[in-house]
Amino acid sequence: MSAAPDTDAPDACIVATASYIPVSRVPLIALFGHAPELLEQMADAREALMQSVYADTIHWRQTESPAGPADANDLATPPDASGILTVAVERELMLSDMALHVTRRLLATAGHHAAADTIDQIIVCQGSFEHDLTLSCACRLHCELGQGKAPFALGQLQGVSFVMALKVAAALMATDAQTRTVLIVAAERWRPPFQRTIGALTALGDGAAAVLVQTGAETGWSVRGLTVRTPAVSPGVERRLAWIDTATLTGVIDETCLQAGVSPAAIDWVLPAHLNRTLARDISAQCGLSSARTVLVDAGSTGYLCAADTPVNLDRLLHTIRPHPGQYILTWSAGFQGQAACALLQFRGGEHVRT
Amino acid sequence: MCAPEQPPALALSGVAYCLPNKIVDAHAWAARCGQSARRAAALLDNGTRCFHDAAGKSPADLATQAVRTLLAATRVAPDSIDALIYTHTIQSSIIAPPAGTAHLIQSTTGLGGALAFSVAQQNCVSPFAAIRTLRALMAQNSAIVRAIVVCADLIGPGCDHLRAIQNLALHSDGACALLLERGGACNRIESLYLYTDGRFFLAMDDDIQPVPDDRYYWSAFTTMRAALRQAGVHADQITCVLPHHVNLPGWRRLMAMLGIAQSRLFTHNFARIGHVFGADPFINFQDSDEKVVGERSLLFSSGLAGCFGAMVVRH
Repeated sequence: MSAAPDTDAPDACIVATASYIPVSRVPLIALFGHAPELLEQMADAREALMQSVYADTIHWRQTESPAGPADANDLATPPDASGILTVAVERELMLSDMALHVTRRLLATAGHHAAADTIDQIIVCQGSFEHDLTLSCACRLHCELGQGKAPFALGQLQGVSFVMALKVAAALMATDAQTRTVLIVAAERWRPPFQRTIGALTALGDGAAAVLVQTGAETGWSVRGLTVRTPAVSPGVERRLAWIDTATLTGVIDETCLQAGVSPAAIDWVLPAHLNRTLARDISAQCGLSSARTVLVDAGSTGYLCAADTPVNLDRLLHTIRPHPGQYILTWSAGFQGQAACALLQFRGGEHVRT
Repeated sequence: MCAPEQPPALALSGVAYCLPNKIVDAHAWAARCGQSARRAAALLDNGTRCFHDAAGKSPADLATQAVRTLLAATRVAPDSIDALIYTHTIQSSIIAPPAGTAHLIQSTTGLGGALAFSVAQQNCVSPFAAIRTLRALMAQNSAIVRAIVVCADLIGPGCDHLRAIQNLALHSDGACALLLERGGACNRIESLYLYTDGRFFLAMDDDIQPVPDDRYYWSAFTTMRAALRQAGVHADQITCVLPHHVNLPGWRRLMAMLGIAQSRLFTHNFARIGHVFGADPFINFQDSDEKVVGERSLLFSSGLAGCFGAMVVRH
């Protein structure tokens, strides 16, 4: 029931990170119903077009997904165990604006780093829509930066997208001598009619992050292990619209540690998905990860940043620590259809670039 | 630093596509969305006659049908598929989050052992980008032997007026599934070249129509030429060019630029099915009778934002 095994440890190193979270916060209680600006925006033809395609996607969800027409009920229940009180809400920038903003912030800070000189590949992660039918965020970044081969986006994995992008980045670098530096940019901006609450599980906030990955770097965070699983649902098994597969999740964490020869107890910092505080603590306990070393960075205020969750919180973690060579960060993430991922990063020394 | 790993030899072992039954001709489309009869006539003049209309079906439904057809036609066991990559041109060709389209296709087609995700934002070149991604993953992980790339797109009712690309094509709803196998000898992918020309980013007018730009021909030509060079073959070794179904008159010009006889352009599906987004060259691959063992086809697609992709396949 699980994906092909893959716990290779590619020669990829995270050398710089940046994140952007909008300052505006909205209490969960205010999230129910549509945003008041929606009706005014509908007067605009392009807005009407976007609302039309959004409505199509929701109609398909109601007809295709296991939850059926009751899917809205699956979403609307306020989170009670997530630990999320407010969510970050972007009011000005489009998704690709946020992606570009955080990328420029990264490159401005990492300008002295050799990896920032030439970006060979851009990979975008997003689960929410760009509010422009034909705009490709990946192509926009490629055009604005004027660098890189054909850019693309990885998706359909929600929170797991970033680790999958890291995996693909490592694979591209390993198979193409001309690909030495990969820019991964993750961004989310949720607009009406999409709901920000995922039942009692979590609530979605807006944010973006950029991560520079280089092969053969002497400084930074080396990818020592990486596992992604996307289990299918067997016929006849009832599922809600969104769920977390904790068995698969603990499996990928155990496997990543085992393959790298690292005891879970020896991990210096554990960076869980910031989607639900109770889940984060339970997973750490089940995998023998230290609860004292499990870092939950302000998720109660920002909400769950989905595809941007892991890179945003990695950047925020790196702002607060002074690692020694050889120390480990273990990060895990989960998708809403049981997808699970884990990455094990080891500090090589030198100075990690952060904004 | 280690030397780069060699990408594995990859074969396009099977193709299946799904087109909705409902067919709408150019005049009917023009009438139903307030376009002029003159525009419909111009579309016909440029080799575009009709399109398939999903009429309420979802992209996931079309993709699922294509994958099921592929599995049945190739007699491949679903549990032998190690990866499933969903690709799409239009960002909204997915079911709304938090649901997952790739997961839904994976589960309904029984691909329980597959790593399922999507590759997008290369517009109609996304299937080529997915193959490139797959090849890199295969090089790193010997356990990935067999994979499916499936693309699906449709124009929703609220976007019907956007079906035409200038007067050069009509978007057609549909899906296409590709079976890709490590080490296959038949229909081996000899080269795969992607190029994104940033000059074309946002080259759209207020009606969300691409702005005509003569530099398109040069970018399309150089992409195909690069694929030929990467494969180590000359243009005259290509027995069939499998195009995207946009701008048939422009394809005559491209064939001349490539130095390939016009008779080798596969035009059978231009008028018959319309422009099925990223699926066109692969549908043509399936429908072409020119797949003589040892000979080669050149597949090409381009998309909005200056995305270009080409591939040489040896049969």
